[in-house]
Amino acid sequence: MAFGIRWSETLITAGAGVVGVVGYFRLKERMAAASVKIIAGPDSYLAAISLVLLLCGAVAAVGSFRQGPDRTPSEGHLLRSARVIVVLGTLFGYLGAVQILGYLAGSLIFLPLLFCVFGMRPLYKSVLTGMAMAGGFYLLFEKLAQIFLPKGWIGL
Amino acid sequence: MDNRFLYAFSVALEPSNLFYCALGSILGTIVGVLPGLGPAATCAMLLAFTTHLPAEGAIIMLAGIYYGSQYGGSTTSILVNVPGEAASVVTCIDGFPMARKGRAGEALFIAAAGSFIAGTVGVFATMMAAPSLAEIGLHFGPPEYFWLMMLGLVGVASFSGEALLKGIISVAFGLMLATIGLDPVSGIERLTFGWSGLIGGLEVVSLFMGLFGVAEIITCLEEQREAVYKGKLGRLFPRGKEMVRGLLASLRGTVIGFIPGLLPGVAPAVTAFWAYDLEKRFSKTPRRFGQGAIEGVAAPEAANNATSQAGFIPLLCFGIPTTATWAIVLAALVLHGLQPGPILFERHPHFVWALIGSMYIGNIMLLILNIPLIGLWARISLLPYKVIGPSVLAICLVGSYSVRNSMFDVWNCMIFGVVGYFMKKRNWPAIALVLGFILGDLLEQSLRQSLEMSGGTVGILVRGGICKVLAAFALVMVFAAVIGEWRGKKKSWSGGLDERGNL
Repeated sequence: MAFGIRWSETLITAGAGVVGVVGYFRLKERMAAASVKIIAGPDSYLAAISLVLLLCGAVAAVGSFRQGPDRTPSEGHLLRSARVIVVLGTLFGYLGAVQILGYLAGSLIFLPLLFCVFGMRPLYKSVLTGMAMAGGFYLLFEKLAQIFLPKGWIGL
Repeated sequence: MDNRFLYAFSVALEPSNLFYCALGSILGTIVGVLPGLGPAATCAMLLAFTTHLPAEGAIIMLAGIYYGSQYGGSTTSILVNVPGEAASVVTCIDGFPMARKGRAGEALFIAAAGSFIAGTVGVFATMMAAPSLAEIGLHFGPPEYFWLMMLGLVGVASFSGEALLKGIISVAFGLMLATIGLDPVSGIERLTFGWSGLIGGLEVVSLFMGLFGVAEIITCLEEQREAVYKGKLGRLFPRGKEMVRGLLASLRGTVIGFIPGLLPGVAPAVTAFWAYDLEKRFSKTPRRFGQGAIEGVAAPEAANNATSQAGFIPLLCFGIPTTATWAIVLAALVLHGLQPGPILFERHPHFVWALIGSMYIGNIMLLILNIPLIGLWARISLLPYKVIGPSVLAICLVGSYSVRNSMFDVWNCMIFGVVGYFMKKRNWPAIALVLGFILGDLLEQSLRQSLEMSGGTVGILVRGGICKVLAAFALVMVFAAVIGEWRGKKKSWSGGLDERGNL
């Protein structure tokens, strides 16, 4: 690790640079196909940013080679991460449910779960609070504020 | 000057503006009091909903949340040694010892007074400087704007985060994210890889909500602490020499916080630390610091508020935000069809002066709110995180959906929430990414216009006097950051010993 940057982060940086370069070549093809000729086109700006990322990735990689391996996380850190993973899993499940079932149905199922995962006890409290919030937010945003919430694939 | 002054207050005192100012100030104080919910997260959360409000009201409210949070952040720092938000960390050092000695009321009063002094100075400086700076902006062409954007990006890369390289990478990521979608000139897709959802580009509201709202909630879930204050507040007003010391420290803190606050990337937390450090160094009795020295509360609180207020000037005059919250305010301005800069002063003077005037009125409201209602804020700080966390996440979901009625934006919000969480854990500056994203379009536009004007010759970027000055400033910032890092590394190479061989 060098400059406080781990190997995984160095790879992500270099990867973003590579994505930029691939995007640049695809853009060049499209510009050629559309016969677009501009002095300062959209391709050169993208190329410059990609080069910066690749260069930064290279500098971080060279620095990391010279400094040695990353430290592994402590057991305490892993345990804390497990809680975060559960919350993130619940959140993404919530989004999937909203996408399929619609906002109201998805929230009635997942908001109580989210309160539970955040530590609200006893369970009946998180169920009641979650359902009340789901209904309350639906009325507030859909009916009062006229923000039309997702209906999902089944149109609820 | 007198006309300007009167005009600002006359428009700020309109009932609707007063309402939004009060709402923003109260929300800001609550946000500042609640550990784990910062002004950036709150403004990000409310950003989508402000599109339904009038432009003046929306921006007045968001600005009120920002400087209100500087007032509220000190409450939990002093009462329970838990900073309400990042800029109030330093206040814990002397604020909590004052509370343990039964002087919580005095600490809270001097924190509020220091914030008020800084806010007042900040608003008057804005009134004096902003119109002149905006006039200078009228002489800026595309090359000058290119360097102005570069100065902002270089500044945030240099001063935010723990390493210059991390700052540069974050900025570059932000610039790359800004290129996703259709090129505005040629209409050709960039970095969409055939995915129709990306043709419209990434929505700024989702990015903000994810990076600052969702990420902050998830981070705080790990660091959750239950805070309980059972002591008495004691008397509110410090007496005699203590009051004088506190007020003088507030004035010094204001100066220390205001000037660096004009630069992007200098966070209020940083200037608060500088102000504390300088007070301790130049004090005749430095041993009092850490044991409940009133200057140790007054100076950092004044500095952090001064920095917040100062950031408004480059935002208003040039469209360069200095902190994450001002970046969100910039996004709100753009969503309302208002482009900051000299044109804003010319075409929307009513809006500009309403905003400036309301900042001063907001500071008065906050002083009035904070002192008598200290007990109420102390109780609000006890709201459990298991209630706040899911509520904020649910609001972020609705907010990110409401902009384009697209679930794609909601997924983006959550993905950026994960990205923001890892950035926080690994000390990557999210503000650099955000600034790169926001300024990316303007930077590209000004670069391409400059090159079009010169027929492709890069020399146009260093032809004018203003360009040379701005480029020189940018280089100085980079050198200063590199030297600062090299000095830090030199100390660690010598095993943490300084030149005299001391630890």
